[in-house]
Amino acid sequence: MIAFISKRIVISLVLILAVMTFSFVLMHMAPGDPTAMYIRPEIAPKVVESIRHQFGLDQSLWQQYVRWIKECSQFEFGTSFTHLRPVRAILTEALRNTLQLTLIAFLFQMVIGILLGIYAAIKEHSWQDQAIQSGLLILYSIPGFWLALLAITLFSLKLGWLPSGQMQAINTSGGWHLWLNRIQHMILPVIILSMPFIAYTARFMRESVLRILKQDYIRTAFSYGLPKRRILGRYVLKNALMPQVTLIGLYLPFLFGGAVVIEHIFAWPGVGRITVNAIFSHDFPLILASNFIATVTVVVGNLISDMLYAVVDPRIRHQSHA
Amino acid sequence: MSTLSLTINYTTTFRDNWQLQTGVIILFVLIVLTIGANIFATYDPDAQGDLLQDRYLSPSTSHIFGTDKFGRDVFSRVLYGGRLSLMLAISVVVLSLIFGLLYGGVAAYAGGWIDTAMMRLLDFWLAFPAIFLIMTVVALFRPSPASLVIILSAIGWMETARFVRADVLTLKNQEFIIAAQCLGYHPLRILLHHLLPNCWAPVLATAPLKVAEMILLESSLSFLGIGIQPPLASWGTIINDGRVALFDAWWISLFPGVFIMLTVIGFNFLGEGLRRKSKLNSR
Repeated sequence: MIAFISKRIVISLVLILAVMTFSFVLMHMAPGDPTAMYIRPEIAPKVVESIRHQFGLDQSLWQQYVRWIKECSQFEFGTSFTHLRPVRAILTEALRNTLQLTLIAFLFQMVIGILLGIYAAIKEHSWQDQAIQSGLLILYSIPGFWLALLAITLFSLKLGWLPSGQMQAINTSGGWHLWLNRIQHMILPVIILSMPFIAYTARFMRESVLRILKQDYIRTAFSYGLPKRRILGRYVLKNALMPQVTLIGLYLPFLFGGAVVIEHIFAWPGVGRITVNAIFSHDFPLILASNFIATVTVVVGNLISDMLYAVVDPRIRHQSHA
Repeated sequence: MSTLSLTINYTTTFRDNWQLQTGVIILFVLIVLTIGANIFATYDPDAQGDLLQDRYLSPSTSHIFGTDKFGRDVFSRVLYGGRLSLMLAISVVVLSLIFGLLYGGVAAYAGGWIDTAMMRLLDFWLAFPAIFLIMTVVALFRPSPASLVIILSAIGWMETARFVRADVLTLKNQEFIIAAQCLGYHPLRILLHHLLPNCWAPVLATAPLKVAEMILLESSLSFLGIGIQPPLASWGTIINDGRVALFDAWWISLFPGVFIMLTVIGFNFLGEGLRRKSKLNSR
């Protein structure tokens, strides 16, 4: 088991390094110079030259690469070309904002999705089950960005019930007013963000519950005459939730990467929005750093998922011993 | 999982599979409308109307979806945009399925270090954050429909490849393959004529779901301004056009979104129906 895990960790590290190298090369192959915005008649070529020097763009590609890898291993990502602040500070701030949004959306979709999934499974083949299933299919067929626009038009512009974007109003002072204000700002993005995930979770949950309901030990429990509520609560639910737990790792990229489009529409100052802007302005250090975060979350998320699988399911744990 | 996919069991027919029916009907209407855009569209999608009289007209009998800020007919744009969006998504899925099929097949049939190397490369692609890859490549290089097809196919083949590899691994030790090997057939012939034809059915069943996914992805990219570029119309770009005038001219963004939704629902129903039809519990 330990050998297995350590092998997986080594492979993951190599993977991360490979992806980082590739994205570095890709970035520097691309046309367009990040200092292009300084090339103006009123700025002397010498000044541009010194700016290039400051950003380290005059070094050879190899030198830049080595320096960048060194920085990354210490979680320092250099200075952003556009914000002129350390990338680490920018991203820490953005991550905090993104996590507020994604964590709440994640919990929300989990609760709703699991409840819907269980209900549909218990009522298998009934009209309720059919209705829920079709509803879920429609739910994840709706383009989120479009729904967001419609929701803003209706709830913010026409009715004026909810704010149309940003995290909080400008003049809100601390205390519970601030929290109330933030919650208001979160309602629309959280609901729209969690909709497709509700569909995934509910479908997955339904399949798990159905699979378990067909097991021998459930039939035995029924034939013992145990109350239905107890069978569902104690034997079915517990086992059906286990696969759900192992999926948590796969949500890691979403939690840390944020939702690019939704953040963009609601002007939520998170990682997704910062990255989009960075890409448009050729801000290499910032793009590479958020790419780094995204890669790490994908790789680590898969690792966590595999490990949780073994932790949660003793059958797999013992298999890998043999 | 892989043995399951071998035993395709046509238990339900088209008649009692309402999901399949709904999907087919929705898609039939949409495809006829978009392919026949030249017939059904009442205006040239790019023709600008009179800037004083034809801008932001609300839906009426002459412009059933209204007009946009240049006085262009939204209905015609939606049809032509739909043609582009659909063609793009379908070509992406066809390309990535073919590539995934070949990649997975070659890896599994070759085995040994080739298999290991190919699977490591696949892991690498999987670890590469797709959305960042698309955005970086598309924003830094000139985006065109062709380059979009290539980049979207490049991120969509891995799942298929894994699926096919697992299938071929179980198939390649069966008697009919061993017989073919004994007859001295070329490995390529065995792969293309004996192995892959036996695993493409379940792969094909995933195609509609993939098309649905691609339509959503392409439209959100075009909406962000890094997919299809104006003046070309795609559903995503039309929604983006209407964004600035949401309050007064809601129709510009509303209708293309409805079309996206219907198309995606159609493909999802089709995929779901096919899955049920072939009793395939692909995960």
